[in-house]
Amino acid sequence: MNPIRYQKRITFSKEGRLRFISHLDLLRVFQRAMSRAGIELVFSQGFNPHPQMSFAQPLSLGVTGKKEYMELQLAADWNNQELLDALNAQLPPGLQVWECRNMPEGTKSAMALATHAQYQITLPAEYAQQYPAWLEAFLQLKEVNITKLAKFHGRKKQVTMDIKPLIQSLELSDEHTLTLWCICSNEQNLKPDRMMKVFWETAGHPELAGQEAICRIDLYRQEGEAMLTIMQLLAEN
Amino acid sequence: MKRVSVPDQVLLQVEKPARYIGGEVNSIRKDPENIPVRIAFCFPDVYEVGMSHLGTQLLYGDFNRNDNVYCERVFAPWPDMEAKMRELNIPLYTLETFTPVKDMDFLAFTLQYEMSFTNILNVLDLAGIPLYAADRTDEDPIVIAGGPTASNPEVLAPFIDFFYMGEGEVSYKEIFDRYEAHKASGGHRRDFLSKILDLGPIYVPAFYDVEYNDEPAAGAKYTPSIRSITPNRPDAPAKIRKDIVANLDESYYPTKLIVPYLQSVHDRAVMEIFRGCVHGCRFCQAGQVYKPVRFRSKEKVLALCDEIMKNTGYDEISFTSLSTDDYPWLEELMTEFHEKFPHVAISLPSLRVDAFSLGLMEKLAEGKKSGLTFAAEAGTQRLRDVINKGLTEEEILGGCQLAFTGGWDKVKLYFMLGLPTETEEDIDGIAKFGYKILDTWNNIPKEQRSRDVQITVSTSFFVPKAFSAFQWAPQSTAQDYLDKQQFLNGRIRNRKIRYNCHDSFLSTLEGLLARGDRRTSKLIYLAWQKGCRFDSWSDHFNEQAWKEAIEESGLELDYYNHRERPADEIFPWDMIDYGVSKQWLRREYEKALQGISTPNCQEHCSGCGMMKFTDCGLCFSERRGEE
Repeated sequence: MNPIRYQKRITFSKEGRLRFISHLDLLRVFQRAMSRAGIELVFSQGFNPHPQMSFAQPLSLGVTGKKEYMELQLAADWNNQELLDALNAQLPPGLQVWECRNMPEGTKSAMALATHAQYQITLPAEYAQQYPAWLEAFLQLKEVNITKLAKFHGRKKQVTMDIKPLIQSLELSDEHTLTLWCICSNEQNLKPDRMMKVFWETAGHPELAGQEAICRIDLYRQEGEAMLTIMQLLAEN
Repeated sequence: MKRVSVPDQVLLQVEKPARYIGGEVNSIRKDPENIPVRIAFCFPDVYEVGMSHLGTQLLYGDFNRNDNVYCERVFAPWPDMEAKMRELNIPLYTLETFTPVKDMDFLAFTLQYEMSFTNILNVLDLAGIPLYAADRTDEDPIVIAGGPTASNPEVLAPFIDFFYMGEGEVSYKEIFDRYEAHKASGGHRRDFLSKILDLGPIYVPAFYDVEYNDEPAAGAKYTPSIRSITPNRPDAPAKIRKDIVANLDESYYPTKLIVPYLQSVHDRAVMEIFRGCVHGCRFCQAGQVYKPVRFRSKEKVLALCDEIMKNTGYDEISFTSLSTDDYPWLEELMTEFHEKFPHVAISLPSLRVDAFSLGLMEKLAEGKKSGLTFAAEAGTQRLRDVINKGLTEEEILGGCQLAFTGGWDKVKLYFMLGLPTETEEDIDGIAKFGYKILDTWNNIPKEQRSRDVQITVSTSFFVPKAFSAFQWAPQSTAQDYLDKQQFLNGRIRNRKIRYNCHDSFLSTLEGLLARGDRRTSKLIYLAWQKGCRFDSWSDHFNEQAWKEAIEESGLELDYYNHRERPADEIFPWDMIDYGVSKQWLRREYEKALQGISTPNCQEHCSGCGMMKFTDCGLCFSERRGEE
């Protein structure tokens, strides 16, 4: 028989130097913070039990996140605000939890629900005058080809892929900040740093690749015309 | 205050950038502005290795208990980061405040193994500190070294301002207080060294002269041995006494262990249950330099564990010591800990295998049966008597029998090749040992044993170390090592027995650095110049560069490694007093050659000298008990 579980969806931010820790490291940071806070997680059954904690699409190394999603199965019920406070007291600077809502039985995971992401990309200020033209040139591209290493039957192989269809919209929200809406789901996921590499190449400045600061604002689910954040899919409580 | 800025792009281009960012849970934040004594503590290897070292965490916490001190951490940057730092002129910085290491008052290295020596030079260089102590000015930090490998300080002597012998909990506070006063009274940094000589454990290499004999030593072509090591000023003591923590229950223990973001090599909480070792394995340096045996009480251990688990959130803890079996309250400790923290796994390094420990391991591993490890060290009982390893074949086979019927299916055996008096029979004994374990498994009825078995025989090469009973012993040549390895490899012919072995040249080098003297220091410098670093990492070890460096240094392997040192030879480390007398070690060496074993200190005191040296620890309390 399964133990009673209390499922929670939590938003958190990952900023500052913590953008340099990997997704696996992040998992351990949360696990230990919960252990210190006395928050007991439900463990999976089976040969190698692990705590029931899941995340939405991982952030690339170096990318910050304003609203990232984590879902927990707790062994005991917690008041949502108390849970947030207890966790925040244990998190290192750069990580903070913001909101917590209950997940009714049968709710799909954030990982399965997310379809889109919004990113803010801050560009070096000194080229501000050129950005409108560079963006125009980039948007004119018929294809945005990136190369990546992918696994085929266990072997790693260099593949080229057109990511243009994954870009929903890309515009300048101020002189040197881009706002990107793109596909971010279980099946397809755009990595903005890869897109930016092509952006800089198209602008004739490949050396600027990596100079941008990328921040994921939130994750969304498209429902008809509406774009709802993953948290909005749950009732407030 | 200067702060080193590390561009994001650099961090994004290197492997595991979390090595270079600091800010971990339980790392210590202080406002450095008004702190008079600033220390950079360096474990000279990569972050994940250094962060697994208890001593680093212990001294870091201990130093930072003092309000006048801020101790920060620094590690050896991995070669990809080093390249970036050199390219962009980023000086080596501390992880806590990103302060240039050069701006610190002290840079303290912990020496845990010889193959980290080139990293020390590289750390100094990346910090912009002159490598040679003689070239440093008041603008440079005072460079300290300590730890077990400092027991022979001489190979690093020209690079280090002072060595601290023994356990750092004892005198560092006094050193830092004196430094603060010295600084406040306008004293120069370089003049400070003479102000701490009376403390006892301080060795300032510059205050000692080494003279050599006129003739080459017997067994060497051209290298003379040491004639004398003498202080060149009246306030430098002729003997440097190691410091010892008298009572572990009353001494500091770090309960706010820093929890790294990266998975460190030992990714778990660590609890030291006792210090020292009752066994007198004759090849072992740690067993001698950590004497006497001092236990931490079970009550204290449990109280500390409570805090550690609360402060770290780890799901695993390791109870460490040099030989966990000898902890008198092990069973109660484990049981009580398990009751308190049912979800925390316990790992016990170097545990004897018997019915009790197996039952315990099974319970703690919650079904996961990892491999069993036995350090048999030698293939025959004769040779085990020579090295005084009190573990018999029957004990190991009995342990395996229990383990196999309990469902374990992996056994790992560690041996050394090249031990004194070793013959072909002893090497053959290693192979036979493997086969006997296989027989043990074969003889258990199928339904009672694991389905398959994997026996791993692993050999390393014996390297004589300072302060071990074998400090006089000749070390095999690299060719000898290879021959022995091949011989053994030829004897193991079964797919259920796997054979692993160490690199022979690395062992030769380790031997050279372990028993070298001041003349050896230039080899480290030459190797570093040729780009050697991270020598304990096989993918970074540059054999060719080291061979060239040996050639250029003119160091004679026959002198340092291959000859048996005469009984009356003055060793480079003779001015260091670890409490264990040279006469006793010599007696042990001679008994070894005759194959006579010595009972462990718990059974019978063999008079190593420790009882006279100190008034604490196991042997002292035993003696009091008899009186």
